[in-house]
Amino acid sequence: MNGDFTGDGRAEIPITSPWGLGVLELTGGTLTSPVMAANGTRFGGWLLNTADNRFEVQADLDGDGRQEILVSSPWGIGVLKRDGATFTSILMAPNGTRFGGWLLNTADNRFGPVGDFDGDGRAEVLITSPWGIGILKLTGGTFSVLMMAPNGTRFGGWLLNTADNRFGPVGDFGGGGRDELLVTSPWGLGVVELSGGTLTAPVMAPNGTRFGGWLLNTADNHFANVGDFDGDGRPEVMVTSPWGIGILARAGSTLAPKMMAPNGTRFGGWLLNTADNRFGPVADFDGDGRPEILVASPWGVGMLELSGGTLTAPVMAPNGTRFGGWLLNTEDNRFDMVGDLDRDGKAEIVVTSPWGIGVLKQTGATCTALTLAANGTRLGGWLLHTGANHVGIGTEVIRVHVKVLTDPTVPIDRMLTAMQQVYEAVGIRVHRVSTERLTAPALDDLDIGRCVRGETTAEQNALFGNRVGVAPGDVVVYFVRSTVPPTNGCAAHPPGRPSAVVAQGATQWTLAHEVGHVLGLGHVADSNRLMTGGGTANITNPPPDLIPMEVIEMKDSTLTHAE
Amino acid sequence: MVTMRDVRRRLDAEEVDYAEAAELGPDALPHLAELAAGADTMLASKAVYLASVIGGDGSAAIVSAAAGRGDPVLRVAAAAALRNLAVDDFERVGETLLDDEDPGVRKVAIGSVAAADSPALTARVRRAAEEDPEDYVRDTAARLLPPTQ
Repeated sequence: MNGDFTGDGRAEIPITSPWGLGVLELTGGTLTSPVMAANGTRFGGWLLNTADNRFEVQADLDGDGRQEILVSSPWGIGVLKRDGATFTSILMAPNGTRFGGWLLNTADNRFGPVGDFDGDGRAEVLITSPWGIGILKLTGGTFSVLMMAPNGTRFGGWLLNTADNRFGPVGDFGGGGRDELLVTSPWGLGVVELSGGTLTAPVMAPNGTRFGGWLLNTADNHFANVGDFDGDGRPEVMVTSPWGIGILARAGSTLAPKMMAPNGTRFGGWLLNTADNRFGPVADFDGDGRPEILVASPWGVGMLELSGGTLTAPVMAPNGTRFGGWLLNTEDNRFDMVGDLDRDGKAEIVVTSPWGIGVLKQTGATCTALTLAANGTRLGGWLLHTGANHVGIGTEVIRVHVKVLTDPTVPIDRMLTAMQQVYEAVGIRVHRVSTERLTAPALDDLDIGRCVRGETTAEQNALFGNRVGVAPGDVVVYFVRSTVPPTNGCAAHPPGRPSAVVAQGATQWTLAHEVGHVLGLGHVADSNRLMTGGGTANITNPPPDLIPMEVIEMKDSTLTHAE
Repeated sequence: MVTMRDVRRRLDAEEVDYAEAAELGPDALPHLAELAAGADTMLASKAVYLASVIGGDGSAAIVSAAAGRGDPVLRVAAAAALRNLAVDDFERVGETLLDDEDPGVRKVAIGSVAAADSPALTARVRRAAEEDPEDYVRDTAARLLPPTQ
């Protein structure tokens, strides 16, 4: 179960801040903090420092029915296990450690997704690097390697290349009792599974393949949420695109849609529009044994569930609705985590806003708030401040819309692949939501003034006004011929319109760099990092890095969210 | 002594801080001339603009050369740089850019003229407000320098 560190059947809420790490749990009608640890605390040998610790994944790695946290730092990695009012480390390894043949280096190793790839009831960790891929299994106090392979390896027909392969989501799509890994690349899609000491690819499909009616195009298809939506005992994967939504199930060596619908479809009262609908997380909110999909839009929120060949919307609520005392406003509400916090067999939603935190529970056609707390409240000992607290552990997503006035010299697809390579290495998936060609020649050589944060020109304001159908929390990147004065790009944008421009002569990393600014990052004097102030053309060891403090800032941005 | 490396360190930045880069001073101009004539359009356009911000002997020649290049992105950079040139150079290069075949270049040149004090070119902009074949160029000219009655 998501976030169950004690094995009592209830999910707990991991929470971090510049002060330290806590775990919140719902007790009675309030949140308490059974674990609180300030930075500097030793969890066994692990030195807690939320400024540079990255809480990568949570999963039951040792099969005891309790989840552990895999944490990384510039020093190495640890696996933390809750032990009463604290954590202890059941594994610690510095960089340079060999796990079997895998050389640990947290500077360029990516951890996750996790899954039970060998079907033994315990989760393993996928690990990738610029060298290749491996699957790590907790064995005693260390990791063993179930498989590892360098780039260039063929898994059946699938050509491994961690520079452009995107791994996840994970699920037992084939019903064989072992999790499989969905992988996409600019070529197409594969489903790979562990077989002996290697991977095989029972499903491979190039872009242009039709899965039933669904047209595969990994450039704009977003595969995210997995669940057994139809209750047949095998999970399906949800996919969205600029066209609409589908739920795909594995069918032998291909995928087949359980449902698909174009934008404009009404699911009950919910109007599908993938340009501004945010899907996920998914969980069984009503306790019927099948997960529902939480969906948010500029209008409000809904819960969607599969019913026959379509979706229905058992819950719909416009912004302004009160869920008990919680005032719904999708413009600033973050649905950070879902889990069964009260052990009633139904998942609840942990929601945060600039006001505070709430736990929402589906009740019939609406939700109620099991608990609410304003910032400044002490949750047990934890001082709530949602502006500086980060709730939950795991992958987040940033939604990017592309609007093209002039095509850049480096193709946009390549820039996005480069951005995905950098962002997804630190657990932030990049979802290209839409692509639009704009005819606005007056803005194609864009006056950007001094290009400083919070200061925009009339031309920038006019250009960034082109965001019809874009959700407030989505980022729009405009590709222009040039800027005045000349730059590779500029991320200055007006309040409420997170945007950036990229000029025709930009590098493959400029897009990722500018979006980094939009997420709040500043320049650094290190040519090995994405946010180098010395120009991304001079990056010395590609792909460029994002350091833990930057990742924390990015994940704390309202522009990234759980899925 | 300003080296090419010093210049590149400023110009390679994603978002160039031209005010800070201008502190390199006139010794940077030979390097900027070399970059402005190079094949890397992005770097060349940054070099053209920085040359204009630094000013002094040689800067106008860099801008003037860019105004005659085939790549419109470079001519846009020259049009943006125009506003930083001394009056004589401003009018000479401005004449060319206000007549450029690319409407984006003309738009940016109009913006530069509007920011300066040149009766000769101001009259040209007023004409552009009425006669330029491109709607948005006419609109820009009319917004920045409305036609006289």
